[in-house]
Amino acid sequence: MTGEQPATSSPAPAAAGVPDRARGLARYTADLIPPGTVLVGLARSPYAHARVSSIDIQAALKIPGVLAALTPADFDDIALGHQGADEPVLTRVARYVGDGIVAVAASDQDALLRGIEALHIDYEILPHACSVDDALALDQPLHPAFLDNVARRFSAERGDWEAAQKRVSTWVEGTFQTQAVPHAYLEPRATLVRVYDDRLELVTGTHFPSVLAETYGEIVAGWGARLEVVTPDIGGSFGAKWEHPTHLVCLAFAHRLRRDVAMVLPRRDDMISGRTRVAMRIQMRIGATDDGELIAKETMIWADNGAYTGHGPSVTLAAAIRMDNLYRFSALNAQAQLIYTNNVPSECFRGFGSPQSAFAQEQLIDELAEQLRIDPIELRRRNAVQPGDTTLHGWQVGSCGFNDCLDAIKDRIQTHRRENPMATSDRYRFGYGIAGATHAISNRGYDHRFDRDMMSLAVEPNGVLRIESGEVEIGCGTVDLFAGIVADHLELDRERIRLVLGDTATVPHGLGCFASRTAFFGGRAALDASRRFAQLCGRLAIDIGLPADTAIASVIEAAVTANRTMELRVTGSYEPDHVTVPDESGYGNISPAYTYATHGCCVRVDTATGLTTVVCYWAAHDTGQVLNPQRARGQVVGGVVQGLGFALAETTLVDDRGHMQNPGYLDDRVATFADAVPIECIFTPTFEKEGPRGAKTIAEPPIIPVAACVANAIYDATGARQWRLPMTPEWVWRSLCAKGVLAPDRTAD
Amino acid sequence: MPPAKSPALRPSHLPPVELYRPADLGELLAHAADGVHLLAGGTDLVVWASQCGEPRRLAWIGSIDQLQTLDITSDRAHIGAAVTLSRIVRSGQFRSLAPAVVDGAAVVGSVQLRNQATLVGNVCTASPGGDTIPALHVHDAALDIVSAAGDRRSVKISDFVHGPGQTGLNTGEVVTGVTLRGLGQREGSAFSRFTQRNALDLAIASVAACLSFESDGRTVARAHLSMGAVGPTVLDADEAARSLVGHPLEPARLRNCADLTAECCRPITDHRASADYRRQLVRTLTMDVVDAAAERAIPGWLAVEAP
Amino acid sequence: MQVTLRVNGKLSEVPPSFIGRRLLDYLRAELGLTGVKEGCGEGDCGACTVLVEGQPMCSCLLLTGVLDGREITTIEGLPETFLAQFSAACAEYGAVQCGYCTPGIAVMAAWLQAGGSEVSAQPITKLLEGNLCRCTGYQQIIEALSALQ
Ligand SMILES: Cc1cc2nc3c(=O)[nH]c(=O)nc-3n(C[C@H](O)[C@H](O)[C@H](O)COP(=O)(O)OP(=O)(O)OC[C@H]3O[C@@H](n4cnc5c(N)ncnc54)[C@H](O)[C@@H]3O)c2cc1C
Ligand code: FES
Ligand code: FES
Repeated sequence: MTGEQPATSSPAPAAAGVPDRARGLARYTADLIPPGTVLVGLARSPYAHARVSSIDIQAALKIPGVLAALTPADFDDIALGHQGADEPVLTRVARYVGDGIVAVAASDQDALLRGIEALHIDYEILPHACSVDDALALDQPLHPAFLDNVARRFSAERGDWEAAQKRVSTWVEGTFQTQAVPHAYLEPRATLVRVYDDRLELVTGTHFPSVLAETYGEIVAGWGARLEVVTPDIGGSFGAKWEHPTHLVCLAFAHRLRRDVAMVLPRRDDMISGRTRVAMRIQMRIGATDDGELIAKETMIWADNGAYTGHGPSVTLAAAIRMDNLYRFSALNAQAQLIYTNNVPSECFRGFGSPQSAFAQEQLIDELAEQLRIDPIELRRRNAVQPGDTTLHGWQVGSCGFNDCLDAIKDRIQTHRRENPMATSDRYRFGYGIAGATHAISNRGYDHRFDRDMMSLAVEPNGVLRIESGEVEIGCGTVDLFAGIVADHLELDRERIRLVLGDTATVPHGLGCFASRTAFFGGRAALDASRRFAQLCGRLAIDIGLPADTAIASVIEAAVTANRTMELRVTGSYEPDHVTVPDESGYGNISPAYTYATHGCCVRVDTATGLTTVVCYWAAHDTGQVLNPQRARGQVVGGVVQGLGFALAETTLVDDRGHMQNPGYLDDRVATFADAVPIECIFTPTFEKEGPRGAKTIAEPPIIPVAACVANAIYDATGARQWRLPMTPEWVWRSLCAKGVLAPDRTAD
Repeated sequence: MPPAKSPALRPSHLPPVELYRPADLGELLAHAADGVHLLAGGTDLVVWASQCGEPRRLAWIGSIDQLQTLDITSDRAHIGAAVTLSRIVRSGQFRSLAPAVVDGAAVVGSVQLRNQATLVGNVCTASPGGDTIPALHVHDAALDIVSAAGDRRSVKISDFVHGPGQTGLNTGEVVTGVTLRGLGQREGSAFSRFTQRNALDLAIASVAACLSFESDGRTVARAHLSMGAVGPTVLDADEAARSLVGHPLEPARLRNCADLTAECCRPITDHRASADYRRQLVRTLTMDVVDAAAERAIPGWLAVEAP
Repeated sequence: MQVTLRVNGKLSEVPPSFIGRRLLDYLRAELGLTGVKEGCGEGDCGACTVLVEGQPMCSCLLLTGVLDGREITTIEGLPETFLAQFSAACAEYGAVQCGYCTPGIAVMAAWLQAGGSEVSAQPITKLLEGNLCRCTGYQQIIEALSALQ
């Protein structure tokens, strides 16, 4: 489709439900690219830090099939990133290996590759820093406005630190290192831009189509064009698919060439230029009284922002304070800095910063339990936050089932121990571990203007009820959930309901899918919309001459016959009223509800190789009422397995020149079928009065305690504390050597 | 022939390839002489070609019947160059002849990859961590090679691989197959590797062993040990193997043998693992693999005898 | 060179421009069989799995030209009775999240159901080692596939 064609909007793709997905009928962005679409590719910097001294595109433009090229000069006034606008679309200063310098558009793949190879780019190499320490020591700012390379500092002090300290009798402390991990969603980043007269339509899998429409809309308006964003099916994201320079490159080419353009990143490119979890060094200390009252916690964080700012600030602040809310501390002191480096830009990733801080906190709690000779579950139980508490960070705890989670795990471990006496040998050691977690459902601090959700219900001429939402389906089952709530409430057949998600041309504004908020906010909006719709149907029934309490399905049928379906349209919304915008230090009731979890596991450590095998895993979650147990279990198991990857295997390895060593699944080591572990998923339901039908949410929490849980089990098995992620066989083996755990004939050379 | 330049910065797409499908060996040799690259299963080649943009001219060996043969006799096997790993893994006859090779072939990639990939391709890739190579060493395998002029030669596998990605193949030469020695009486072989994931992973270290016993069923008559991913090529651990010969396989002797393998390997440190960790793995794998080979030679045999 | 494949039961002659390209590209771009997914292009993920003469292979590593005369089956060509069972099992056990890995797994499931010596001798977790799923953690897929067998 090109500009010459009629300017009718293509129908927004209806997100596919499970049966269609299982038949291969889901349509992801790359599936929507028609033959003949202009293809776009990037020339990327081979240097971690370099100034581009000259660019020559002439030879590339002469290659048959090459249509155009864009350089940094075409995007001079634009910087992306709504938590720190610092990422150029194409850059004059490369800040990581893989930074985009020149974009080429061509009529076919071969011409595109030849075009990219024919570009001539000269660089002046600058000193680079691929670790936070190097970056702090670098006498050269990576971004001119940040002379010390610190992108953001956070400080949160609560309670009376001096007084609290005096009550502490035992301190435990440690420095923990967590790593960058690629999101490794299965669908690589893909973008398609369709051109309709003065309107550009951006088709891409993203968490927040409305926000993209807003951000890019302003830029596109500057070119004299309008923008719509369409979200087709998304092949996974886990926090990665937000704004991205490739979107604007495609929009600019489409606008300039007046042709549809597309860019699908090969897996390698996707990993090199994709995003990763924020790597952190966490120095932490926790103090308690002799009888096991947790008193004070001090946290220092050095977080690796990478070259540009994604959601690093929110993630870092979350890592600094969120896990504190699990226990009733008397005083807290958290200091964090987010530091620019020449690594791949970081981003939020399932769990925000909490998997990182849980790795430190929950190991230290175990350490404390050991020193105080208190059972680790008992220590957590004694100090657990309770319903009705307002935490030191301002969280107003509504429903809270943390204690129930702890009890459930205690029970599982006891039973397992009893029923499976482990044959611990010289070589193989067995151990159990636990860890707790808490998570917010949304973050009022994310967009200061609002945090709400809207949903429209409308009847199509054939009587099908259409649900329109700005939320998107990223594989969590949102489609089914919304349709289910509406169908149940209105007593309609699920087959007579169609969902339209994430098309900004037709659907109401939604903030998008993050922080596990979709089901909660969207669910509440669905309930509100359903209520309004039922009222409307009652009025129409009377109007048509039917009893006011006529079944909704019959009213719809009557409306079809009377040709009055267009009158059946309502918009419902949800905006929590007791949340507050947090202050600079993160203080505030940021979410309408909070979730809790405890995980437990049994591991086997092979002391000869350091290989840790998870024998059994239990995940207990308080997620309010469980609306769809099968879906909820899918989120838990999926989250735990991602967490095990974070704990034991996955990492982004960078050499001393800043080149990623493992851009691909083979070396990134995402878990395979053969790595599947038995996971029991336990729900300890509470009733959350704010939630849709008492529910809270479940997408993110399952990943949070995993690394800590496994680390505690390794310690239980071997006595070697784990300070570093991932706990690969080699690192565990090293920790065993350092501890002298190994049998004499198996120690390190 | 792994990628020469850093593949990172060019989008990884396979350029259009000029493809030939020679019908017989003569035609294949003519293409090879013309500098066309040989394509077997493509599980290595297509990946490199996508990353580097070359080679762009390929001749597929799969349409040549003669290269499809898997010949098994009572004491040896000939595996044609186009024989896939799946065929080897599925052949019960082959398994009893060379179990270590099957151990290696069975862990390469995945079901899908083994349906495509060939044994000869695995050898010609000449990766120090190629999973069939150590087992081929301990089965005294030799490569059958034909030159453009039609000359045939046979090269021992340990002489064939010169370094990472480097073989002794001259321009225009083609490997037609591999011939290996089958197990004799009271002989067993095994291969094991260490990876972080349970599948789809490359070896951090690997060891193959072939062991035969005297008629007393206790004394080791012959031993061959070979190690992968711990040197520029797969390495034979001759001294360690010799230390077993002429003695019963007692735990202390086995431990000593494992220490000797760890000493004689030449690992490097790279992003997959450090050198000293690889040494440790070789030590552990040696114990496991010698044990497994002995078990296959004399079923019911146990390394750890009651004190 | 002439290359003719039988794709999902239909004969199709491959245009010269696709002979030296990947089967994956031919199926998706030329035949519109977008159920075949590209997750990595390097044999690591199995999203591109198709059956060649009934055997699963990665269409991202196969050149179209080497498949002359072969029978290729993509998810679109699996029998309707199988797809109905498979999708019902997926729905029942919660085996699908984002769905990007699912077509490859469906093809593997069809292969599992067809049986064969390799299939009967090994657990599902080994047979599907070449199919990555980043969402589900595998447990529910394993349950669905076990129920199908
Ligand atoms: C995801 C993935 C996982 C993998 N996992 C493993 C693993 O676990 N262990 C392992 O060892 N390997 C692994 N590999 C590598 C690969 O699958 C094997 O090396 C395979 O055996 C190569 O065989 P092929 O037939 O595909 O070779 P091709 O890719 O076709 O060829 C490989 C090389 O051999 C040359 N060649 C092929 N045949 C001949 C011949 N007859 N004469 C001369 N030269 C020839 C080719 O020109 C080329 O240089 C993996 C690959 C992938 C993509
Ligand atoms: S796309 Fe072929 S295996 Fe991933
Ligand atoms: S469901 Fe998303 S990758 Fe499997």
